[in-house]
Order: sequence, then structure tokens, then C-alpha cells
Amino acid sequence: MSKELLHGLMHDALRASDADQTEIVTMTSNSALTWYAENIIHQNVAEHTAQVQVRAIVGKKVGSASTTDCSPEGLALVVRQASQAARLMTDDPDFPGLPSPQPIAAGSVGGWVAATAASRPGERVLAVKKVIERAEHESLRAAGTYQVQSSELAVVSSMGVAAYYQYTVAGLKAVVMGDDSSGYGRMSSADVADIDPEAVGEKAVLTAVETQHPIEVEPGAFEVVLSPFAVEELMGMLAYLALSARSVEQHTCFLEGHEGEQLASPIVSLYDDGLDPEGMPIPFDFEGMPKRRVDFLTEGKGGNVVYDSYYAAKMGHATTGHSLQQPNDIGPYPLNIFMGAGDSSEADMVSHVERGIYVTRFWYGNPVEPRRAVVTGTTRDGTYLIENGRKTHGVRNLRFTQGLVDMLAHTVEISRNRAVLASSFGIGAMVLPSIRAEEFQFTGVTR
Amino acid sequence: MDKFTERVIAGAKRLGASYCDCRLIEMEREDVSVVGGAPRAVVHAHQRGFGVRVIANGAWGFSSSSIVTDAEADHIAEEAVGIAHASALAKKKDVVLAPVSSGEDMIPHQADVDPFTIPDSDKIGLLAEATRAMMLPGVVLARGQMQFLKERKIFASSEGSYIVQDRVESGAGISAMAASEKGGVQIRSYPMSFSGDNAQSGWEFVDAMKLLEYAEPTAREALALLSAKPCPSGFKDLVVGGQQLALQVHESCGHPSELDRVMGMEASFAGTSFLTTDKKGSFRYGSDIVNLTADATIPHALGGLAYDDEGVRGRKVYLVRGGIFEHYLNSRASAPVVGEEPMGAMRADGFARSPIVRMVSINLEPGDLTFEQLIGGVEDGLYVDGIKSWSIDDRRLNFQFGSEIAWEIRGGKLQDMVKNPTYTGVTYEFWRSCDGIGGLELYHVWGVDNCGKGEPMQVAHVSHGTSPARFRHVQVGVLHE
Repeated sequence: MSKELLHGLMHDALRASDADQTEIVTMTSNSALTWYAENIIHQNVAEHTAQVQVRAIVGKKVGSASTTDCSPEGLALVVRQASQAARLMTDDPDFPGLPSPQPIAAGSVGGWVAATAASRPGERVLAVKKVIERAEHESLRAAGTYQVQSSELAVVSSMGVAAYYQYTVAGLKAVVMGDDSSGYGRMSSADVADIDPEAVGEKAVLTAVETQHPIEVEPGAFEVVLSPFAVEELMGMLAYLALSARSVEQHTCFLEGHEGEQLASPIVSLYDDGLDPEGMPIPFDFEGMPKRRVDFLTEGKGGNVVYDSYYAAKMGHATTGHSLQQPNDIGPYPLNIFMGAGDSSEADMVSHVERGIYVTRFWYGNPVEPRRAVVTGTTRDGTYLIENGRKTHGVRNLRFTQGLVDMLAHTVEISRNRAVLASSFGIGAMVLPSIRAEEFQFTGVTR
Repeated sequence: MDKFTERVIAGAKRLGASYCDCRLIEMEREDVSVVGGAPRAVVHAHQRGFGVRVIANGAWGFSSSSIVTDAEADHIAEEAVGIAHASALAKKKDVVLAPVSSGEDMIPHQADVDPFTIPDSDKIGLLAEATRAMMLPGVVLARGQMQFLKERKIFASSEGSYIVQDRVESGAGISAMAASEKGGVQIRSYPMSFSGDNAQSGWEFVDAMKLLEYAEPTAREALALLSAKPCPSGFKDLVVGGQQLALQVHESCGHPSELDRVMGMEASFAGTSFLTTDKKGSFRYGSDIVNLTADATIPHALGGLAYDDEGVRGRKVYLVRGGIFEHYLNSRASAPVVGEEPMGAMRADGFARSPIVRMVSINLEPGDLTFEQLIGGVEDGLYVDGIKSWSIDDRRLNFQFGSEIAWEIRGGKLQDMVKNPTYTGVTYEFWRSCDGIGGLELYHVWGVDNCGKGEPMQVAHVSHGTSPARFRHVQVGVLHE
């Protein structure tokens, strides 16, 4: 749509609300995805959708409703439904009311690229063909996706919030497989011109070739070098388990009661910054509140967690601008996690390992003990044995069961290069380096 | 055929599509959640839109929109055909669909009492009472939730199918989280963890759960777990409860049987499958007593359907019979590749997404043992149940699952409660070790509404019929320190 059209429709609906306070959040998305496998394109899809979420407040009662119908009639109906839902609720004494508007740094955050929004399916197909042809040259099989997305996020409320942001995402991913090995490559950016299919394909092909004929390694504690893709899976789990005010409420947050204490290695800094242009910025959250940087770990010392307006009021803090669409069962959530860069390189890290494991990716992480952020999962798409400072063999995938805070405490080296990894939520991205960590626990091996 | 879908299909054919189907879907959903006796949220959601799938120049194209107008019908049909032509730039061979019968049909929903006719205040009231009953000293969080869905889906195709299917789903569940002063946290759920149990039924399904009756015992188990024994480490015989076994069936049989995954189509996301096509008809997946079915015809099962999103009639097939892997979950395009007939497993998440191969109801056929006989056959082991944590590798072989609760088994009797139980293994070794399955009286079809697959991510509603079953020499209590 456009800012004027969308805000106009939303404000009209707002005026018709009979609730004490009303908030409307609209997310429109034009997205297209080319999905390939076994060296052919097997799905090529587009979707044009809108999602409207309304919160209506009557006294301390909160009701919600949603629709995909962005017409004036559709918006009027969903506002009425939210108001009716509110009247069914009992008072929520912790509900502080909808937040008042705060200045948003939208002008300084540029995440929308016209060329991405205008890209055509034929362009995606030609890019994918480059990956496929590189894989075929080595008699390997390529699979992956090339997605482009152009989205609008708009928030208005009867408190005067009127926020709008338009952004684009382009992402190419490749898994290249041989008979007994596979490799992975991925690149994401707001600008489709940044996507380099040759580089993505080359990385995946090289890994698949190097890890052919994997050997089996007995599980146990190993020194590891983790690529940014592997770190992403683990930081995603940490975000879910332990970096929000809700995790404090549920006692699964390792930071709870340990602010300022040395919890991780002094070389580890972990934070969320929705305004840093190195990532994929979002200037405000789903309540229209401006994003503020939150430092979880600063040189290994315990810091803060992210808040939305509800948890901020309940726990005596200011919102940090990390609300997801309300209501939700996740609570506030960091969508722009960064790990501070180090001064090393992946090659340096590998050279410093006498005997260890290099992990390209982890897969299917799930909590085992949330309180200590212990998670399990497996390696995939390129796991190497490191011997005497060199990657010497591919190894069969391993299962890990590891405390994430323990891993950050045993981190001894971090790369200066960081990868931008767009979120699977369709908004935000992590910016992560490679890391070297000691005493990483592998607890099983796959067949 | 209605004028809208007729317009879409005519438009796509005019632009050169050799095949077109259109799904026009209107869906209402209601989610109710209550925490500690107070309503947390009542959310009504409405979705309406259409998805258009075409074959043009021998390749697939798909587009969808939430705007249902004639002008948008023309635009989306044109875009879908344009995308198909772009896909054809990289095709190796033309898409070929297995022939299926076409025709018109109207499928009613299976609910007795439309849950949308029950006042929200009644739903909140029931959950409030149940969660209050769970708030015993030491319980820090008592949650309850219900979810209801009502959908009308019209499937029309250029082959002459016009199928209208109505669907009503209901589900509910409660959970208690207990915390100790030492920092221990334990959760117990009823009747199932996460969103509870779900079915293609009406309010009568929630009513029959007897949430109030089970609320306090559920909370007491959560409290008891705080001081329970830790899970032992080593190899033990394992009796897996029906709920936990539903997860086992889902992850280690349902997903690896998806033919698109086997053919590499999911390789870049969820991975591939160890059930490669050379194993069809000969691979020993489990012991002789293991029979696993894909059955879309079970009344009220959440994964049941009359027709899938390709217009294929749902039916029952044996994925594993007598322990031997026999059949895949398939689609019209993939079934002929392995010599199968389409069996009705192509499903899409709403109107916006293109259908992919999904589970329907995947079930472990019941055996003939009582619960006492299952336990009685174990000298030294564990009985585990209650889904808590799951992880499986990208070929669906190496798994590690955690359960909410366990009990030691010694000398054929249940003994002390055990907390944080975990077990791990390799799929076919685990199923080959199965030597006892509970009978029909222990059988239940569990409705699971959170099965994720595909890119962009699609969530499917599936189900799993299981009885408790016994497995020998399984690694339990996975160490991580």
C-alpha cells in the first residue's frame, strides 16, 4: 500500500472504536520464493497478504482480534470484535494501558531497497541456476531457496502512536549434497544486488566436497570452531529461553540476579540493536515503541533483558521496544541480536586447535534444561575433524547436549568478520561471528 | 463451480496453463488463554483468501492473495502463470501428475456442538476454574488454553473437480509449572503438553476432557517432580506412554515417510530421510509387531480429511506392515516416481501457501497387551510420558527426546517417580526393539496442531493414534556435564 493509505484506513477504524484505548497493527507482505532441490526448481511461489491485529482496552480489560481483510469494512469489524472480546475479560491489574508515543529514529534507518521489491521471478531463477550449475559441475545435488520480500509494518493507537516502516529482505540459501556429505551457503540483505549466488554456491560445494567419506568420531568433550550459522542456531535458542523479561518471570533466565557478574568469557559481548545498519534494522516494535539497544553480556558480564510495555510496567523498567504482536505466548523478544566482533579469523581459529570439531550448522535445537539453557541438537551440512590445526576429515554428524552459558564461558576466540543472517520470522536479523570454544559436549553420533 | 474459481481457472488456461487449481478459503479461529485463574487473552482471527497453482510450459507456478475480487483473481492467475514460465527456464523435465478421479462433492464438518456458539465467558470460566485448582503452594504458573477453528475450503480444478469441505476443530489443555527454592522447575500437562489435545470435533470434545477433574492431580505431579529422583543414565528397557509415543511416531515415522523429503525437496530446511526409495518393500523398520498407518479416514482425527489440497480422496495405507517399510506419504507428482497411487497427503497451510506432502493421521496399530502386562515384562526400566523436548537429525535417524515424567520399573512394578527423563537412539534400532504394544483399550488418537515444514514455513494439523509400547535396551539419562 503506502504510509498515507494504510494509516488513513487504520485511523478511520480507530475513530470508530468504542473501547477506552485501541491499537491497530498492520503488516503487509509481498513475498516470493523460488524453492529448488535435486538441481531443479520444484516450487516457485508468491503471496500477497495483510495481517491486521487489534488490541482494544476497556478499563483494565484487554481484548484482541485479527483479520486478513484490510478493507474499511474488514477493519471496522475487527475493531468491534476486539472491543467485544475486551468486555469478556476480567481486569488485568498488571496491564499498564497502551504506551504513549515516543520519538522514533525512522529517518536514519534504511531497510527498504526498491530493486528488491521490484525483482522478478526470472531473476531468481537465473541466480538459482548458477548454484545448480556449480553443484552439477562437481556431480553434486543442490537444494535451497531464494526469497525476496517487501513488507510494511504500521502501528497506530488512540494514544497517538503512528509508526510506519517499509523494508525489504532478500535471501539465498544452498545445501549441496553428495552421496555421503553436504555443505551449506547462505546470504541475506535488504538489497537483492548484494546476493552473490556464485559465492553461496561455491561455499556449499566446497564444504560438500571436503567432507566426503566422513569418518566416525566417538562423542565426548571437544574443542569446537563454530561457523556463524552454527552460532545462529544456538543464539536463537538462547533468545527463546533466556533473554527476555518473560524468561525472568519464568525463572529460565541465566541473567536473573547476576547483573554485573562475570558469567561468560571476557571476550563475549552479546546485545540487541534494532537500529544498527550493519544488521537488518527495525526502528520500532509492534507497539510502535522505539528500539533501544540492550546489552545482555558486556565483556562477559551479566546485563539486561528485553522488555515490552507490559513487562516493563510489571517489573519496574522502561520498555526497550521489543514487543512482538500482542497477545503472544513468547513475550518480548530480541529480533536483532549481535555478538561483538573479535580479532581473529576462522582460519586462525582452526589453526589453534590441536584436536577438535568444526561445525557448519546445528539442527533441531531444543531445550533439555531451560533453567541452565541446556539444549540438544545435531550437527549438519559440513562437520569436520580438526587435527593439528587443520580440517582433516569430514565426520558423521554428532548430537550435542550443551549448556549455552557454559559454552559462552568457554569461548576463547571470536572472528572479526560477522555474517548477517535474516530471521526466519521475516523481520530482523542476527549479526554473528565464528567462535572457538572449549569443552563442547557431544553426546551421540548419527548413522 | 462458483463464478470466482471459474474465473481464476479460465484466466489461467487462457494464459497458457495446462493445469490450474484454485483454493478459496474462509477461516475463523478463536484462541482463549487463562493464567492463574484470570483470562490472559481471547483472540478471534479471520482469514479469507485464495491460492492459485498452475502448470504452464511443464513447470509449477503459484500465487495467492487475501483480496478476493475479480480484478485480483485475474492478477493472481496471471502472476501464477508468469512464475510457472520463469520456473520453466530451469526445468529438466515436465511436471507430470498422476491421474485421479474428479467430480463434485460437499463434505460436512464432524462437530456435534459448534464451539463458536459457546459463549466466550463459559470457555474462560472453565479454564479459570481449572487453573485456580492448580494453584497449589509451590505452583508458580498455571495455564489453560482452548483453540477452535471453523473453515470452509473450496477446491476447484481445471480437471473438473469442485469440492467444498467444512471443518471444525476444537482443542484444550492445562499445565502447571512448579518451582522449588533450590531453583528446580518442573512442568506437568493435561491431557497433553503445549496446546493440549485437539480433534475434528465440537465443544463436546473439550467437555469430555474433564479439565476440572484432572487439574489438581496434574499440579500435584508437577510438585512431586521437584523432589523426584534424577533420571538414571545407561541402557534400560523403556515403556513409552501413548502421548510420548505420538511424538515418536511423528518424528521418526511420519516425517521420514514424506516422499518429497525422500526426494530431497526439503533438503535445504528440515533435511532428507533415511527411508530412501531402495528401501521400499524390503527395509526392516521395526519388529514384526510394528504396524504404522497413514489413515485420513479416522473419524474426528485432527489429521483426517476427505480430500487433500490436490482434490485426492484421503484413504488408509500401511507405511510399515509387519515391521517392513511399505509405503510413502505422497502427491500426484511424486507418487508415480515410486510406483504408488496418490493417497491424499498434499496439504497447504491456509490459502497463501502451496500444498506440500504432509502427514494425515499417522498411527501405531494397537497390540494386545494390558498396561500391567507391558510393565510386568520389565525387570529394570523406566516408564516415560508427557512430551517435553524433542530433537532429531536431518535424516530422521538419531533422536533425543525428553519427557515430563517417568517412573522406575523394577521387578515388573512401577516404583519411584523420576524427573527430567531423556532417552536417545536410532530410529530403526529403536522400533526393532519394540516387543509389546498396548491394546485397543489403551489406544487414543492425539491431535497435534503445530507440525512445521516447508519454506516459507507451513503449520499442519495432524494426529497420531497410539497405545503405550515397550522397547528394549534404550539409552536413557543422556549426560551433558
